[in-house]
Amino acid sequence: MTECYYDSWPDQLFGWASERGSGDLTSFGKTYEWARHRAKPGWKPRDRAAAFNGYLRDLSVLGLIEVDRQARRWAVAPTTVTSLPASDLGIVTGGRTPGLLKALEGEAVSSMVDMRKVLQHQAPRAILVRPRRRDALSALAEAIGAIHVSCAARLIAARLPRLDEGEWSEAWAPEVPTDEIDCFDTSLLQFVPAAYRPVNGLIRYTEFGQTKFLIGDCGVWRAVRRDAGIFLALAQENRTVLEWRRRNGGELRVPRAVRLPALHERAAVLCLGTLPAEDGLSLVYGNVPDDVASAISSTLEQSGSHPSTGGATRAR
Amino acid sequence: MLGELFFGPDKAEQTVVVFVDDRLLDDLRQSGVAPESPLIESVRAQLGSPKKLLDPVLSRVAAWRKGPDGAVPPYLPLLAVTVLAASQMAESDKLDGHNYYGRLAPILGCSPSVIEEHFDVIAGWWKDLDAWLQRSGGSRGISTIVEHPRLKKIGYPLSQALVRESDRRTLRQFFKHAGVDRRPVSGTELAAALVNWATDGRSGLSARFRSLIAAPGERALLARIVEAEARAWDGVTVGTPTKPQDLPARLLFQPRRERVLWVAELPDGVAGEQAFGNCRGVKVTEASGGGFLRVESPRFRAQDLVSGFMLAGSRRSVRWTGRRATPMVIDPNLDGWVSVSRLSMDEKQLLLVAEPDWSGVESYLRDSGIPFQHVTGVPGLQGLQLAQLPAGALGDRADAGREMPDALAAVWPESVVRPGLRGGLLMKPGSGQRTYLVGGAPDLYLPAGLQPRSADLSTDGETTAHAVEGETLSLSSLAAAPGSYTVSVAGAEFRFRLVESSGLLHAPDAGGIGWTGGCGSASWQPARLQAEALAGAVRGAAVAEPPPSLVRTVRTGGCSTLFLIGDNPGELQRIQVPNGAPHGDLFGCTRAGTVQAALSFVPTWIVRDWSEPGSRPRARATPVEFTLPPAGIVVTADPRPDEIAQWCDEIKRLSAASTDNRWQKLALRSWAAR
Repeated sequence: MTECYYDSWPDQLFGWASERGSGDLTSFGKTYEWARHRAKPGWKPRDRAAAFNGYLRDLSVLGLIEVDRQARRWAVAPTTVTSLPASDLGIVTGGRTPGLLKALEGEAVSSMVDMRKVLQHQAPRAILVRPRRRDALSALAEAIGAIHVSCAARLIAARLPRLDEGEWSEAWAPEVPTDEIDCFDTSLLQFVPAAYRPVNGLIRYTEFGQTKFLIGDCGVWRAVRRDAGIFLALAQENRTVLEWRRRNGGELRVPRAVRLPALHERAAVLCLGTLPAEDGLSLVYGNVPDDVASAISSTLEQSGSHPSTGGATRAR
Repeated sequence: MLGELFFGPDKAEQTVVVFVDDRLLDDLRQSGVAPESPLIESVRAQLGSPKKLLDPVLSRVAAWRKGPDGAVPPYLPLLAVTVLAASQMAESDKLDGHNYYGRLAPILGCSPSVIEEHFDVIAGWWKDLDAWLQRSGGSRGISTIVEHPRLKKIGYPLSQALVRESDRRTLRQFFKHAGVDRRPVSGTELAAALVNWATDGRSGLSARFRSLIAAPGERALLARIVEAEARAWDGVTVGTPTKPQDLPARLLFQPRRERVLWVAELPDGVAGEQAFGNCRGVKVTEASGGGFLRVESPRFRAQDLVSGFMLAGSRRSVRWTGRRATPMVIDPNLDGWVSVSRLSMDEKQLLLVAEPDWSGVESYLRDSGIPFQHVTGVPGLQGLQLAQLPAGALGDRADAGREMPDALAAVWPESVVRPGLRGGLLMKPGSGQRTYLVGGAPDLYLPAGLQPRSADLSTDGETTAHAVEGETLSLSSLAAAPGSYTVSVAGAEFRFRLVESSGLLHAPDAGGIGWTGGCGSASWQPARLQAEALAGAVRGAAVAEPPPSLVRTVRTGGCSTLFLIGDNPGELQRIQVPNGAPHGDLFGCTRAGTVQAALSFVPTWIVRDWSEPGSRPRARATPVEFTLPPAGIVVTADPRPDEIAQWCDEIKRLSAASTDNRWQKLALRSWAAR
């Protein structure tokens, strides 16, 4: 009898990716579209590229894959067992082939941990494990040939890059007309058409069908990624948009219009092992302890949201 | 000894194979079961003159027949070496892959013709051994000796040779595919993966080995064999070295830089300029971003695009097959438009057309209702006409009412005019037919206009007919169970297979991309990792510490005292380095936790790259001297980000004062690695 380990398209697609191991983004994008069409015939998103990028982004922040956008390659992350901060729970992230899922459901594993799969919207299920004995997580990792990491969220938080290191490249002069430029409005938290030639802040324009983002400082422009550029623009105006609350083991709230840079978001997501919940215009990351939240806010120059102050006011 | 090995009490009621190869002989020798090289010599010692080659053995067999039935036949060692010869069969420089007697001859120390002359007797002994095993009623194992339908004599040893040299060569390809060179994989996992990988006769494995794979009851034996073969593999050799492939040329058009040039795709793992070698009049360099070779000269000429060219380097050639129309798509990595072999169904693209063909192509595009924009006056592309097609332009094609021009037909997407399989969860290419994950069977594409509008799907000898409504038939609901399938449609036939998994717990190429970090550069982006970076990167939730000592500093001259201050209060270690000693480690602190080194003097330091295997300085790495600030500099084995930043600032400040930037790069790399 055929055993089927996937009952949703995100799980099946990621199971396939886990079997492939790596590949180029173009063929992954085509397979993504095929899987969406198969799950829902007639599926037609407003923006295909945005839908695929959103799926990739979710996989990345969950610690399931890594994407090298410059080389247009992806690779499944190594299967890793790690514990959640301030909790006795652990998660299994990274590649999950059908063979690995079978091993996870075997008797050897069930004697070490209780496993629970958490359904997520348009993303593979999160695999949470509750150890039955002290060294169960490392034993589990050994049994399934995975890597064991004490607390990935804290380890990543300790290595988060600051905005001024590595988030921008060489100086760049935008050679596009003003009417093709959008500026990021830090009050509205959205891009608006440029009324005049800007010298500061974050701008975007399109080149070769690709959206480029530049951050300006007194007329000197540098290429940045969108998420890092937004926080650089906010830092220029000393605006704080992150909010941390002590309740429920720590809750980090981020406006949906301002997503965290990928590695920062991964540190927040790996505190609970699941994607953030949506609450109105905010994304809420649960179980984020003060030290992780502090590392995120300080490296993004969101000093006003430091946990010790108990949170700060968001920009209007 | 051989009797115990093959037909011992532990083999009762089990299938037995008289399998002998060089590896088994080595194992027996090393484990002390057999004395040094006994088998071949003892067999040779039993043989007679060429005319009476087998007489000594025949007389011993006659004596054995008169003895108790339980005794092991005396011809067993001779039969074992006939299997040894069969296990060595593969294409080699001197012998044909099918030449059996030519391989047995040097083992027995006589000519192939002599052996062939006496092989009737040996074949008879194989039958006799089969009968002896059957008489034992299974207490000595169940025989697997079978007569070959065609090879009446040598078929017997071939039936027992499980792994031939040709199989080993194929297995090395499989080991590479399964990533055995990157992580240890158990025999059970390897056997499961091999069953999926070697899907059909095209795998290159011998029929005997394929029958071993196909027998579920022999899975434990298969696991033992592949595990032993994997252990013996050096992790590098894969098959026979082949002639380097030509590098396919591609045209690169960078409008922003107003230039057109030829580039060539580099195979994975091949270094840039070395891939081509030398050629008079041709200059190549590695293109930025890697993966491509840039042809600096000769420069681009429109007539080369149409007529084609080959630049023959001493190692590889760069080849362009001429065409009258060339499609191009955007490649952000190369910052421009890059030629592709065929038009794309869904991407925005440029079409370069030779002047004489333009009017035909233009009128066909217009008559077919394909949206395009005629681009003129592009610098660097004189002599060619350009049409820019928006994304998905070909999907809106109407019937032009006439035949497509040849220039366009040569680059038209094949899948638009022919039936084919599309989509699906395609597994990594194995040795045979296309394989998909269960639940991910592909769609069948049948272009409008082709008849009949139905497809036959066959599996396990059963065929069902299915009507194709529209242009696509989803096969995933029709082909749901693992197995082999054949689809016949409009005179074409497609085969594919569905599997539950590859059999491996982890994909071999998982974890190849990660965040290595760095400072003051754009390296805080995930990128392809080199082997040495795997130990110090963030890959998903796997956060690895960097290796303890990637780069070491070398100190010269002056007094030499280091104080290492440990984590525990009062822990202080004083290190006295003799004057004139060539080097002393500072950044190479390998202790766990934080270890600080306080300098009590102002020495001159030399930075050298010691990150090479074996921790030896590279011969060509020129050491660069610089002076650190006075005492009080603190170095930690596990620096915090702010400490790294502080060091980077210091390094930048020092580099600004230096005219030589080589050490700066080196130092930055060392910190990036941390």
